[in-house]
Amino acid sequence: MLKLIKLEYRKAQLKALIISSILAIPILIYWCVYNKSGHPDGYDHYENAFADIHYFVSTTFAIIAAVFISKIVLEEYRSKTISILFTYPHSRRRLMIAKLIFISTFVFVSTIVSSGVIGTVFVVENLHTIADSWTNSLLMEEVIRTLLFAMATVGICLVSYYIGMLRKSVPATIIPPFLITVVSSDFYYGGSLSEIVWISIGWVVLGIVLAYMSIRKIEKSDIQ
Amino acid sequence: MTKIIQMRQVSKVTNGHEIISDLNMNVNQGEIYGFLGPNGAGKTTTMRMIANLIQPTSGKIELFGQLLTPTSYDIRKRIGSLIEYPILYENLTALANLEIHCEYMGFHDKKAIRDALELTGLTDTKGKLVKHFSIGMKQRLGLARAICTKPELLILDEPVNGLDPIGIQEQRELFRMLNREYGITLFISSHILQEIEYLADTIGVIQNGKLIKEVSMTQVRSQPSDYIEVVVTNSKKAVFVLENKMMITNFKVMDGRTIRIYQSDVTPVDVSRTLIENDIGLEALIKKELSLEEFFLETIHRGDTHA
Repeated sequence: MLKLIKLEYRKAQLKALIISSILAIPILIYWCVYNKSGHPDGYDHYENAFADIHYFVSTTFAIIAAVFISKIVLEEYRSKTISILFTYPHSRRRLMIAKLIFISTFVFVSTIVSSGVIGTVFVVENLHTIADSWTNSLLMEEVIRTLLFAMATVGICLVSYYIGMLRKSVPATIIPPFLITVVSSDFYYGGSLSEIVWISIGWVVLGIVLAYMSIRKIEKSDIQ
Repeated sequence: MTKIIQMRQVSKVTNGHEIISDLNMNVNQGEIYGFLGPNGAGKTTTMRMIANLIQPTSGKIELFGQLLTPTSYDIRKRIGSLIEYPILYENLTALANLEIHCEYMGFHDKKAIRDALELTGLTDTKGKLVKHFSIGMKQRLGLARAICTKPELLILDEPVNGLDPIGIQEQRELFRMLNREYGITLFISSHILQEIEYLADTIGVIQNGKLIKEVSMTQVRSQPSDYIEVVVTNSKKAVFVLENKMMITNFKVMDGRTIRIYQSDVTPVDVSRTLIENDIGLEALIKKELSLEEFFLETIHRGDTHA
């Protein structure tokens, strides 16, 4: 499987795309830390600031993941290279899972790293301007939230994969994660920890179920 | 003789249309099988079924004596294919395309990649991306990819498309070499007989999704290739005379007035005398020799008529 994942990376020439994705981090730092996520008065509580950081990070990387899906999966169908890929001595399902593992791992890691970096810069820059004190329990809670939001972003990315595969269309892949994160911005990213746990698990389960459905019959499907 | 491809009563229905109909086909090990048919006859669909890209609606396909199923992964290592047009990773170089292909196929021989590039005349492409290749170069790279893993069976769909005459000649030589020196079985499709008549050992003709003839070229070449063509005023009466008075069975009425007689023991003198004796107006009579293409098409047609 690792070999198949490496081949995906090599074949789709993802180095440039990954580097440009990493450039999203300084832009998010500027927006979330120095521009206070569009709140000119700043924040009274760390929770509010982190809710915004998680929202912008998740939205950004869910959209970047959709771009990856377009590049790694839909492009293969568009350019018909999928008909070459499926003549190789590997199960089609395995080949598609390799693609999804690559995309999911990238999204999970990049969401965590981005949230960590942006959160750290925010705390350092605002240590004396926010009324709340920065405590270890607050740190632990934010670490847990970061992990949960990263999981949820993977789930959202798999949902957009499913929708994109239905239509084999780039817009159909990119628009859903944007709409999902925008619609759920208030109640999800600013919710309580227990709410976030359940919703995040829900996204992951839904994403895995839909991804499975999209590749369930792939072995026998005709490739035109 | 060992069969590499065996298709039994294979049909393919797509969107309610039967594209392939009860197709039976045999490709022997070590031969070059020419798969001939007009555009839209079902050649590519047949090849895609053999390459496991699409599944037959009914019937069985056996490759190397094993039943082909959607999970026949190991068989794929023994096949090289170039179906329809060369589909390549356009943003990679020729070398990278072949390296990735070999990695996926589990074939680790760098020399084989260099050999394939050399055989197809692509050694000078170095850092050039495939998207900047001409159609002919892409076609050659597609072929290089198909042969670089040294397959036992090579499936080539219209492989000389996009090539110039010199390129076509080079490809033919290459196919012969792959067949004779490496013992690779070649299954080549074309809609032009001349492209494969000098190459193929066996030719299968497909039309409207049906294999209408499967014949060895040795058989085709060994048959008499001349005929007598007569133009008469009354073809019905002439047919009666040919059948009942001259006992000729191997002839064909081309149109209302033209009849072709293929029987070798009949002379033009006998034919003209008998027709005139029976009051049949004779407008023309000529002894002709068929080109291989004409003869082949005649053979197919006669095969149909007799069937």
